[in-house]
Amino acid sequence: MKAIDILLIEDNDGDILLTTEALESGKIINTINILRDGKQAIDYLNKMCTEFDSAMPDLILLDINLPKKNGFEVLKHIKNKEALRHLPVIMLTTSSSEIDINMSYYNYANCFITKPVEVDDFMEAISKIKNFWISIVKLPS
Amino acid sequence: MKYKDAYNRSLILAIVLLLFFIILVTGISLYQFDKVKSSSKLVEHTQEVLLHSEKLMSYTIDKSRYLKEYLLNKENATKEHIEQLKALIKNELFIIRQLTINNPIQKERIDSINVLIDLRADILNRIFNYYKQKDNNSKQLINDEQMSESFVYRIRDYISLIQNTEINLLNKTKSANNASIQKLEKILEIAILGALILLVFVIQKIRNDFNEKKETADLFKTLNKELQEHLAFKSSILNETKNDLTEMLNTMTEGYIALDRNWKYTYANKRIYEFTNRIPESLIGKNIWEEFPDAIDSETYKIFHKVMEEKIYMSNIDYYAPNDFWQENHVYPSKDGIFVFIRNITKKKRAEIALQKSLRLLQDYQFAIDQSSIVSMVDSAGKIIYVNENFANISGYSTDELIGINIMDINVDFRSDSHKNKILKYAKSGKVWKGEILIKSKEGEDFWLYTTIIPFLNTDDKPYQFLTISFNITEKRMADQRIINTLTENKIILESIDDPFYALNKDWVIIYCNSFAETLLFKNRENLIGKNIMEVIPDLMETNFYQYFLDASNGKGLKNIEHYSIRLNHWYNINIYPYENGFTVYFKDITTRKLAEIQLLDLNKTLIKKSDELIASNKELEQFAYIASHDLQEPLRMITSYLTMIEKKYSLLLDDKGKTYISYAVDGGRRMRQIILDLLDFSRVGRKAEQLEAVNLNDLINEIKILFHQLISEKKAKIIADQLPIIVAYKAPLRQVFQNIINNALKYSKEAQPCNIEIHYSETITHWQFSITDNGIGIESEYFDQIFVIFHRLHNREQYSGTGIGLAITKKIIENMGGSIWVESELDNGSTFYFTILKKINNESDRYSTN
Repeated sequence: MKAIDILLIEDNDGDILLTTEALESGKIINTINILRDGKQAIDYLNKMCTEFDSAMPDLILLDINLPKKNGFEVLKHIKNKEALRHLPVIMLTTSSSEIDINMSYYNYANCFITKPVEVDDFMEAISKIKNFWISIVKLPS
Repeated sequence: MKYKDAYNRSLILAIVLLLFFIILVTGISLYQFDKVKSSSKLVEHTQEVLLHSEKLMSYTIDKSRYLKEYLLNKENATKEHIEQLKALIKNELFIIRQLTINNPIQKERIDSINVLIDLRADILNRIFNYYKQKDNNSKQLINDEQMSESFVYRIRDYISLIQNTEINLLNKTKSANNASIQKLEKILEIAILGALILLVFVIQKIRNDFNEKKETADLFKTLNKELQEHLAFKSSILNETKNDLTEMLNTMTEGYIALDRNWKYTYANKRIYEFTNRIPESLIGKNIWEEFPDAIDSETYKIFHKVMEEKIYMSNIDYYAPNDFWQENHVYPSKDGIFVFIRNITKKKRAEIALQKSLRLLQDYQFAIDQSSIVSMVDSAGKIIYVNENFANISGYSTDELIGINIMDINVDFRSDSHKNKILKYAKSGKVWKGEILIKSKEGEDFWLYTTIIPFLNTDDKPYQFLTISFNITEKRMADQRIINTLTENKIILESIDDPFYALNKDWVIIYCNSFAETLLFKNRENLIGKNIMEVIPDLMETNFYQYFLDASNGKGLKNIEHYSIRLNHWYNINIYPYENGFTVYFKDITTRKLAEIQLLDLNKTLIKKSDELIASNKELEQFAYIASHDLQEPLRMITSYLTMIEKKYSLLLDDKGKTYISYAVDGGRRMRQIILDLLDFSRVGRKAEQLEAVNLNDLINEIKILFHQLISEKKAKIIADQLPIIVAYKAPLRQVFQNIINNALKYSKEAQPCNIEIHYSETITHWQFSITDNGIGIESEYFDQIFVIFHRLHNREQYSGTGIGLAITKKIIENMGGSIWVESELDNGSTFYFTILKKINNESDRYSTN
């Protein structure tokens, strides 16, 4: 298992803390980049595309309710851009709305996860995400 | 001209002579030059001959000297010199021979010299031989030497002879040349002199000629100028005339065109523009029949051709349809074609046509009136001037009998004298009178005539005669009377009804009206009966009644036409019934009904508006609940999450009380979350656009059994259902309904005994009805309504978990499917939940289910 770079796009500090704590538990050391609004995320990703040396994130965790530009806009941007569309995007959101779920998959989200309400469940979910996407799945290089 | 010819001839002669002299001079000069050239050649020749003969001479002498020298010293070098000289002499001799080849005397001499030289050479050879043999036979030698010497002398003589001859020859030639040159010079002088004289003559001649010419030109110039002035003057007069003519042609009211033999316009005046809408200048040069093809084969076309061919004046009147133009043409032949004066007679012609028309119309009118009416004309005294056939027929008298007698002598019944006087007064005042008159014919028969008396006024506005036009209305009058009789018989009935009623005859004259009609028409009966309805209601033609009455006159009855009388503020239902000679109009007062209707309509409108508002606010509310519960979720999750984290990570730092506090807080958060989720569910009911589908309820119940199988086995429950129908409904919400009620039945079961659930169904025309009966704890009747209200609970959480949303959602779903839900229960005695579902679920409910 090699270490991977995770891009976390989330504006809720509470969730950022919980998510990073959950991701950091365990032996694999990951770098976690945190962006707090949609526009920032798009700009950051655009910059990734233009800078030759920069390392693309291996995995993107994307919230829907984001300031400036919402998660769907970020998702659309990623999936419409040649250089970005291979990145796995995991929608991680409070919403369990069918509209949001359909909308996400319609725009090629790789998976949709409703943030579990219970903190233990949340931690478990994150660790499962980590386990699945880092250990089980073969990611594009 | 003759003078000029002679003059020219002498000039040409002079020039020819001059040329001859010039050629002569040139020829002589050339000849002279040639001579000089040849004489100089001769001199050269002579000099050459002299030179070469001198050379020959000297060589010969040298030779003899060298010979002597040789004879003395016997040197070979000297001998060589001699040989060389020998060759040189030979050469010179050859040259002289060549130079004098044309002179036989000189040739002879050269030949002699040659012979002498040869002889001398022989002698020399002999001498040399002597000297070689050393034979100094002196005698011979001396002899030879002497002979050689003599030869030299002889040669010298010959040479000097040649030289002399040449010099003489040269002198002779020179003198001959000189003589000829002198002659030529003289000739040359004479030729040059002649040429000069001729030149002077020619120059003089030319100068004279030039002067003469100049004078002539001046003369011509003056003449020309005068001529031009004259011409300008003439043309200005001509132009003025032409302009006057053009002006005249343009200002005259007639159009004027001129055409050439090929029918091309050569002129068109300005008026033509008004007639044809063509700019006259643009027509020039164009063919009239190409420009106005519609005129081909017209009267005008034929006339034009005739004038062109026969060269006679003609005129015609014609109509040119494309321009709606009547024209009167005066066509004159001209030298090269025709010219035409065109008069616009459109107005005149139109007036004529209109007059003809109106005359014809007048005749038609007269004919029509005579045909349809009874017409008479009387003078101011009442004497009959004219009667038509109809008058004669109805009166029973012949036309002849009637003319001349007083109209009053025919038995005319004016009903009363006052009536008669009224008519007479009216007629004499010059006003038109209309009314009904009763006359008796010769046979004593009564005739009712509807009569119009028209006075004809003289210049003083006094009537001088009267035209009377009458219509026989006897039959109508009698029919009216019959109706009036009938109506009068029914008067009590008609008067007793509360609704206006009136009757009109065929001429729309009111023959009957009841008292309410008086109110409606705002006039009392005396002013209504016998009056035309048009008089009573002056603006009838602008109302719908006009059409109704027209229809009724044609026998078409009308029913239940709603009419609102502004004046009376009443609503009426109008019924119009035609009868044989007119129609009755019946106004049924429907004001009360109408007002109720209007109120109902208003109410309906208000209701629709209210319901729309309700739909809107409902939607907003649902939207609000959805968003709110969504957004509430997040902070709540934070609260519970971090409280849990504290509990987990810092449990060692907390005492039991602190832990209890936290657990309460967490529990509260969880419950709130559940409430929010329930609220979300509740708000979601009907939000999703579900598809109606056939649902097999037996399958549905089985699915629910499987879902609850754990609970069922825990509760030892039995679910018994009828054979249930397949119904058309929204499947997911329907399952939720059954699920919720069954869930409640299982949940609120008695602990002591096994749970029994029965499901039954029945149907009405419109609805399916289901009942789910349990043997559970039951409900007190006072809570029957409360249980369906959201978040209403009958038990605390310790006894039975839940937020109190299940039945609220169930109710909402059922209502969405056009049904209702209610409960029958007794405490401790089980409950039965009844609910109905519309068989044909109205898609109207979609209005509530769209987002």
